Amino acid sequence: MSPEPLLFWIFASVCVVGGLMAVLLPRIVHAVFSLFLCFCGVAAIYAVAGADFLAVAQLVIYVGGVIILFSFGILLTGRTATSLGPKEVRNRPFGVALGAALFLGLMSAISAGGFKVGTADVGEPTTESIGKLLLGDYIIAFEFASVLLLVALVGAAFLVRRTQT
Amino acid sequence: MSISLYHYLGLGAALFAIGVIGVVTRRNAIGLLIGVELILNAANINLVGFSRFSGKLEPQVFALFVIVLAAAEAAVALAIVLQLFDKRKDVDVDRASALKG
Repeated sequence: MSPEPLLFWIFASVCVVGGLMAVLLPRIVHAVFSLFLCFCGVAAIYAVAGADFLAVAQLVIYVGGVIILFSFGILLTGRTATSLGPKEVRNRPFGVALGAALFLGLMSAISAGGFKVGTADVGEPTTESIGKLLLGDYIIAFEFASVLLLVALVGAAFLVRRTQT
Repeated sequence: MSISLYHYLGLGAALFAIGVIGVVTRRNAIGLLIGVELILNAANINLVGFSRFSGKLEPQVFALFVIVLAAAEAAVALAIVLQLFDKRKDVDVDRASALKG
């Protein structure tokens, strides 16, 4: 018996619990640490699904990059978010109801979708094949992504500079 | 009971709904970004699920581009949030209405 179902359920619950905490905890610092938990769960889900390269990319970019970026963002925006504002308290029941309705609607749409579900086994390590795809069929998109990253880097540095007064 | 494509799609739908809850309830700009990141991850889980059950690798390449775009988005958005904080001393997105017509 393959360990996939057990691992999937464990890490899926890590994702969902982490995500819910990230969305519902009042203090934004706690939300970011819950997001860390959720991203680790997502990386584990990728690994369970046999997407090993993507799992490592998720760990490096999201857990090592985006979470750190968010932490710095919180550091630099001071003590602004220690509790929920009145508007957030008021919005919360509606937001949760909307989310639940959206989830149920999506689930009914998915189960009505009639996807042809294959039963492919988890295959070989994917890194080499993804590398060949990226530098072969998707070379244009790859180059555009690198230009986009450069532009985002320069743009972010430009945006945060102190304006001379 | 083995895991099917529908399990992955269900997990994706759950994360997407959670992300939407975050986007519509939080008024703190960083909280809002957390919701957006959750939504992008939900899309990636769907792609990985399709890749797992079709045996093709293209979905994983797309997921990789989504990760790249999400990283760029987070960097630029946080730069904007910092600039907002510099000007207004808070990061409440409802009060950032200078461009409202």
